[in-house]
Amino acid sequence: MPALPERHPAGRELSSFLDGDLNDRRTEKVARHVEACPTCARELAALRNISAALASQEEVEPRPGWLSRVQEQVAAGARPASTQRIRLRLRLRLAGGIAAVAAGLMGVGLWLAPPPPAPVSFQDEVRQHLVQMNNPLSDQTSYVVEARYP
Amino acid sequence: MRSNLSQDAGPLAAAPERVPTWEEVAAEHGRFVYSLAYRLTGSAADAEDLAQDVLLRVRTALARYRPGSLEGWLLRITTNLFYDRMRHRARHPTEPLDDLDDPCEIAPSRSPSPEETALHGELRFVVQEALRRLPYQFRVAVLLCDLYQMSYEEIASTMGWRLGTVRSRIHRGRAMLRERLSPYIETPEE
Repeated sequence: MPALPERHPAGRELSSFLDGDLNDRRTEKVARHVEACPTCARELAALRNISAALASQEEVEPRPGWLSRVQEQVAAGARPASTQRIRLRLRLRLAGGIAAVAAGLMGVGLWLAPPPPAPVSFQDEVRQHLVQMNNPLSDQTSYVVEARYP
Repeated sequence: MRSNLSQDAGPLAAAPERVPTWEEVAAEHGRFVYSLAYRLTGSAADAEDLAQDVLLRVRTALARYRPGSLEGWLLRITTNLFYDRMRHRARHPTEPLDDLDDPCEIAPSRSPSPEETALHGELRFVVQEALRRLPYQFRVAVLLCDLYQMSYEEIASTMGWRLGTVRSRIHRGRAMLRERLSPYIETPEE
């Protein structure tokens, strides 16, 4: 048995070959391989058969009266169902959004209600401590603190 | 029924400057839309529903239509609407699925035996049934490629898929169809 030109092409490549989607170089390589390889030739033939079977499907006729029903609905001003669904979805989303914003505002209100404790600076803390200790440096805390914790 | 979708085709190509009226589109291309919808959905009831929705959309969308391939334009609207619906269903599995199979279901189910098919002489029916049972992503890919003869690039642009996705969906779709159809479609020994 003669050596194959190269390894088997991937199945996906056989489909692409069938559809003329490969570049010239690959097309030539795959064509040469398929010529020499019965397995790939069978594979390609099977894909070609499937493709042909689909291509031979004929146009399907709607049931009688369908088109005239659609025409009547259009004359009566009908809207596409999906547009209606999208509108409803948008409306629900909008309502949800409003509710979320309202809840958020309430949350902010609750959070603001108790006045937040005034931040106490480190200097004040030290000063308080020194005052409690009756330390004469208490009026020079800035100097002390900054000197120690620049 | 082959239509070359990438070029001007059909009765409206004669007057490319004029945008057709809705009545003309419905009368001359309603069947095309229905047939495509039937191939996509696999049932008459779903096809009527989808095709009707497409035609109703076309009424407002016609204002944005630029004369060219009308059937290509209708095909784009129909497949995208179908695809969005299926994706929506797949994401919201609590919604009842009607007669369509779960899009993720690939497991074989009862299909007519070769004897039954030979009896009815209906290969076309078997092909349609196998197509209906493909997961919808693969069904769209093989339909656009094999039945509507679109190039990989056209499919990529119509569906907003990458070329690699188009390639693999077409091949996997054909491979799945081959598994189901091998008893009916003879592969010549070479």
